[in-house]
Amino acid sequence: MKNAQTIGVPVRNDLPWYTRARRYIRRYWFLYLLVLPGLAFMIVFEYGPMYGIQLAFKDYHANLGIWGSPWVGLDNFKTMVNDANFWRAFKNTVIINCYMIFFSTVFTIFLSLMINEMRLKRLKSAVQTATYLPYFLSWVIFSGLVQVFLEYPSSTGSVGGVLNQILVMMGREPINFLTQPSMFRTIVVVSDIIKSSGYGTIVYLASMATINPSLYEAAKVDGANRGDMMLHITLPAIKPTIVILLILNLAGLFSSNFDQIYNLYNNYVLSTGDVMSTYLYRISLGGGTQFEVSTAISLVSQLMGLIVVLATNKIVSKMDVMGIF
Amino acid sequence: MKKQSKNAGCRRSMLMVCGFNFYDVFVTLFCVIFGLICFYPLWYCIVASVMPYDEYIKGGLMLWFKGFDFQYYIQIFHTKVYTNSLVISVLKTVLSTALSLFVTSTMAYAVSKVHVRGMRFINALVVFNLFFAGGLVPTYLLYKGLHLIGSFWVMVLPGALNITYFIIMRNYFSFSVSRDLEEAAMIDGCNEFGIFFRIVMPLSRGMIAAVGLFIAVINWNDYYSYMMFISNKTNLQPFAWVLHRMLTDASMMNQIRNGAVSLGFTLPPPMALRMATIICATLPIMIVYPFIQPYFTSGMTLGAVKE
Amino acid sequence: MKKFRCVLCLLLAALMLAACFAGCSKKTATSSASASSSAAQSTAASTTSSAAASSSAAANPQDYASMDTVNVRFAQFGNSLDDADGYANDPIRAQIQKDLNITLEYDTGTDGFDDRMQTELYTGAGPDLFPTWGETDKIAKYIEDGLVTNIGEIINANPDRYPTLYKIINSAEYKAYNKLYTGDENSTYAIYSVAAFAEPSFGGVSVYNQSILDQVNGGKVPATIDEFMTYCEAAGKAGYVGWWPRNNKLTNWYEIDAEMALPQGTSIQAPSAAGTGTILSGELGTDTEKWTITATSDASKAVVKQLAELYKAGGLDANIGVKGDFDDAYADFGAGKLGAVNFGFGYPGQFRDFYNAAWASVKTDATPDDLTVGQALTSNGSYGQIYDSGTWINSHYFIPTSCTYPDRVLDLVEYIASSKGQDLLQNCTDGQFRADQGSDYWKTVDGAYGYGDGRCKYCWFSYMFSGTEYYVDFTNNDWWTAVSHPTDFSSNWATETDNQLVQKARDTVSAYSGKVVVTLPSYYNMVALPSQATDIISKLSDITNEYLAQFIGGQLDVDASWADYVKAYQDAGAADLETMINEAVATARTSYAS
Repeated sequence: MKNAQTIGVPVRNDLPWYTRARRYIRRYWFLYLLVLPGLAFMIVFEYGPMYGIQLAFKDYHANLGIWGSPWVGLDNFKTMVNDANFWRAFKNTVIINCYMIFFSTVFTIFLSLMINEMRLKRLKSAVQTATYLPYFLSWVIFSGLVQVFLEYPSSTGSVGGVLNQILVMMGREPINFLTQPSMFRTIVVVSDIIKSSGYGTIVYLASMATINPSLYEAAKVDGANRGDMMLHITLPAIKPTIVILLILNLAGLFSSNFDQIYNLYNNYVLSTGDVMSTYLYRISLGGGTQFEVSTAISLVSQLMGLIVVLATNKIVSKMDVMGIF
Repeated sequence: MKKQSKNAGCRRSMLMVCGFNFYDVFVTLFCVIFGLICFYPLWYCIVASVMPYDEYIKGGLMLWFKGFDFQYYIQIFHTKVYTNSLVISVLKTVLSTALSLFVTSTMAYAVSKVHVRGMRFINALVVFNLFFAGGLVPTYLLYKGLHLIGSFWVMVLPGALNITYFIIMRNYFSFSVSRDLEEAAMIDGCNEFGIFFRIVMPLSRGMIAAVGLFIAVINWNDYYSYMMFISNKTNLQPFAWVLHRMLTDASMMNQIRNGAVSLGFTLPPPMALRMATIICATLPIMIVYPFIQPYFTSGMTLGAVKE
Repeated sequence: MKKFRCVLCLLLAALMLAACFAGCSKKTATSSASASSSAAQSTAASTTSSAAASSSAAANPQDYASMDTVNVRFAQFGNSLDDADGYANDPIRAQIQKDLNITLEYDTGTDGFDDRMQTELYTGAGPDLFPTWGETDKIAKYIEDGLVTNIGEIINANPDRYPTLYKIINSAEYKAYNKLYTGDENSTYAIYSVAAFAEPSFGGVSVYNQSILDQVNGGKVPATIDEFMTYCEAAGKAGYVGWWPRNNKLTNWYEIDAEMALPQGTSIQAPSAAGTGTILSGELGTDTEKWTITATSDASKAVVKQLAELYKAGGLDANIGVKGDFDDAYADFGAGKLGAVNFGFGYPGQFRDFYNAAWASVKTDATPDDLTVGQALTSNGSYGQIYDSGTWINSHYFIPTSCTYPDRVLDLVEYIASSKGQDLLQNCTDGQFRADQGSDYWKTVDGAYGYGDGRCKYCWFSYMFSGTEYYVDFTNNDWWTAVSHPTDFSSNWATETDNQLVQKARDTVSAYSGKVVVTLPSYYNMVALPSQATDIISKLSDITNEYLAQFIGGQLDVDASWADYVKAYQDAGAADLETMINEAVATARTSYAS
C-alpha cells in the first residue's frame, strides 16, 4: 500500500537527490509553510539587529555607522572589569536570582500541590483567583504598594505602613525595612513570590489535571493516604513541567528585573541590592553615550546565561526529560 | 500481604467523623492565608481610593471601608487621555496577542516535528535567540528602515515570536499527539494539514487559551515600545504608559490634580489618586479574566504523556 | 487542491521576498544615515544649504508666506501633551505658525527623554530642534560625529534674515563659549541657554510651619546651627519631624550642604566644579585662590555625625532617601507632620508655588502667615559661603543634521529671540490675550501642557535663551547683559496673595543673601574641566551617595567607617580632580580675566 510505505520512510532512497527533495517537500509542504511566518518575523526582528553585537568591541561614531566604527578590542570590557561596583552588581544579581529561582520554584510547586489538594471547590477557585491577582499589576505599582506597606513611621504622630503598625500593636519597635541592606534581598524575593506564585501555579495545576484519576484510585486501594499520593503520584507527574520551567528561569540567571529592583531600592541598600540592570542604568545616566559598554555587559551576561542553560540541559537530558533543545 | 487500610477496623478516624482531617485543615488554611495575603494589596487600594481625605491621612490597616468618596475616580475618568489610552491598549493587546499566538503556535507545531529535515536547525536558531539580542541602536535603525518609528504597529509587530512560549508550546505539541496517533490518522488518509486542523488544534484549545492570556498580560503591561519608539504622539499612548506616568511622573499627576481643581474639587493628594489609578488599571483585566478561566481547567500538559 | 497549493507556494515566495527586503532596507538606512551626515560635515553641503537660504533671503527675508510650509518638530523635556484640546487650541502656537508659515509640532517625554533623544540623534531620527544638558565632551562628540548643524555658518551668511541671532552669536562672550566647546570661536553649533539669578536666592533656606515653631521652639525661627538642631530634636520629641531637606532620594546633597555644612566652613557634597563641593581658600581673583575638596575632611565628618544624630532623634525625616521630595514630603507637610521643608532652589516664586501646592490646596483656611521663610544659618557668627558666578550655561539647543531645512528652524529661533517673540511668550501679543482672559490666562495655556504654576510664561520656548524662563531683552542689550538680567513679569498678572507671598520671601532672603552668596568673577564661566574629570566626578558622586546615606541612616557607623570613605575617595582620584579644577581655574583666569 502506498501509505504504508510512506509511513516508515518518507521518500525512497534509491531516487536521485532532486526527485527526493521534491517529493520530500511535497510530503511535508504544510509544515514548511507553517514555519514561515515565525521564521520571517524572527529573521527580520531578532536577527536583523544582531549585527549590533559588534558594538561591544567598537567605539561607536554615529556618522560612521555600526559597520564603519573603529574596533577597539576589549577596551569596553576593561572599563567594566576595573569597576568594583560592576562586580558587586554582578554578585548581587547572581545571588538574588539564585534565591528567587530556588524559593519561587519550591514555593510555587508547594502552593500548586496544596491548591490541588483542596477539596472545597468554591473556596478553591476563590483562592486561585486571589492568588492570580497580583500578577496583573505591573512592578511599578507593586513596588509602590510594597513601599507603602513597609513604610516607617516618620514621626510618632504617623503610623507608618501596615507591617510596622502590626509590630507596634505587638508591642515592638517599628523597623525601617527598606533601608536595611540585610533585609533587601528578602524583600525582593518575598515580593516576587507574592506577585508571581499564584500565576505560576496555573501551569502546574494544568499538568496535574491531566493525571489519570485511576492512578489515585489504585493507590487508595493499596492503602496510601493523601500525603503519600501527593508525593508519589502528583509530584512525579509534573516533573517535566518543573524541569522546563526551571531551565527557562535559569536562562535569566544573569539578567534581572529592572522594574522591580529600581522601584524598590535606594542608596542605603546598594551593597546588597544593586544589580546589573540598575548599575547599567546609573552609569549610563552619568552622561555620554554608553551604548558600547551596555552592549558589552549584555553580551557577557547573555553568554553566561547560555552556558548555564547548556549545562543544565545536558544534565536534564540524562534524566530522560525533554529539555530546551 | 496487602497492607490493611487504616480505615478497615472499628477505629473511626477523624475523616469518618467530621468529613475532613488535619491534612485538609492544614491544606485549606495554608491556601486561604496565602490567598488573603495576595488579595490584601488590592483590597487596600480599593478601600483607600474611596476613603474621604480626613480619614485617609490617619493611615491604618484599611481593613474595611471608612466612608465612600468617589471623587478620585471621577477625576480620573474626566481625563481624556485615560479613555483614549484604554482603547489603544485594547486594540494593541488584541492584535498583538492574536498575531503572537498565530506565529508562535504554528512555528512551535512545525518545529516539534523533529524528524523533518531542517526543523532541528530552526529550533536551534530560535533558542539561540533567547540568549543573544542585538541592542538598542541597531533595533532603532531597523525600525526606522521599516518605517515603524512613530507608528502604532511598532507596539504590535516586533514581539510576534515569543520565544519562551514557543518552547513551552513546542514541548506540548511533541507530547500531546503521539506518533502512533499520527500514523493511525495517516493510514486513514489524513495528511499533515488535516492532522493539524482536525486533531491537534481542537486538543490544544486549553493550552492556547492559557498561553494567549499570558501573552496578553505581557502586551497589556508593555510601555517600553511606546516610550522608546513613539513618544510624541499622545493619541497612541497605551494605558500602561499612562499608568506608569501617573505613578512616577509629577506632571501627569499635576494634570489630573489641576483637572480636579477645575472640576471643583480640592487638590487631591497624590497617593490616594495613585490608589484609584491602580484599581482602574486592574479593572479591565478583572473583566476579561472570568471569560478565560474555564479554558485553564481543560488541561495544559508540558510533558506528561496523555494515555 | 492543486490550485490551492499553487496559491500557497506563491505566498511562500512572497513572504521570503518580503523578508529579504526587510533586511535590505535596514542596511540602506544605515548607509544613508552615514552618507547624509558625512555629507553634512563637508563644507560643500553647508555652502549649498546656506546658498539656498541666502537665495531665499535675497528674495525677501521677512516674506515667510512665500516660502513652503514646513513642519518644525520641537522637543522639550518636562512638558506633557496629554491635553489634546489644549494643544489644538494653543493660541501662542497658532500665532507662531501664522507668523512664520510653519506647522509647529511639539515633542516631549519625561521618562527616558535623554535616552530617547540620544538614540534618535544617533540614528538620524531626531526632531528639528531640541535641548540637551551638555557636558563639553558630549557636545564635542556630537560635532565630531557630524550629528549637529553648524548654525553659525547659516546665520553669518544671512545677517538680514537673522538680525538678532547675528548680533548674539557675534558677541565676545558668545564667541568665548564657542571656543570653549569647539576650539574655534567662530564655529557655533548651539544656542546657549543661560540661567541667571534674577534676584537674591540660594537653596539653603527652609520653610517652617509656624504653628509647629510656636509649639516646640517658642515661635522663634532658628538662626544658628545649634538653634536649628535644638529645634529639630524638639520637634522630633513632640511627635513631629523637624526637617525634610530637598534630597531627591539622597542623590542631591546641595540643600543639606547649604543649610548644615557650609556655615561650618566645609562641604559634604561630592565635588564637581569650583564652588560645588569645593571650598575656597586664598583670595578670589588672584593667583592665591585655591579650591579644596572637603567631602572627606574632619569638619565634614562632624557635620555628618550631626546629621546622623538628627536622624536618630527624629529631627531628620526617617523616610529621607526612600520617599520623594515633591509628592510625599509636600503631602506630609500639608498634613502637618513636618516642621520644615526646603521649598526649592530658593527663588521667591518657588515659595509662592510651594504655598499653593502644599499648603493652600489642602487647608481651607490657609493664610500666608501660616508659613515662615527661614533664615540662613550661622555657625560661630559666620554665614556659609555659596560661590556663584551668577550665571551659568543651562542647556544647549541643537539642530540635528537630519533636519533638511535648518534655515526655517533658525527663523523660528530668531523669532523667539526678537522682542515680538519674547513679548508673545511672556506678555502675550499686543495685550490681546490678556484682555480676554484675565490673570488666569497663563494657567489655561500652560495648564494644558502639564504646568499649572501660574507663572506668566509659555512653557515651551521660555527656556530657550534663558534658563530662568524670564523675559530677555536682546533688542536693547548685548547677549550677556540680556541673559544675565532677565525680567520677571509675573507680578503684573499675579493675584494679591501670590504677590504677597513672593514679596515675603524676597524680603526675608534679601536680608541675608548678600552675606551668603559670593559672586565669582566672570572668568569662572569659562572654566573647562578635561574629559577625564567627568569620570572621576561621577564616581565620587556615586561614592558620596552611598556612604553618606548609610552614615546618616545608621547602617554604617561614622567613626568606624569614615576611613573607608576617605580611602574610596582617594582611590577614585579625588586628588587628581582637585588638581584639575585648580588648573582649569588658573587657565581661565589667565586667558579671560579682562
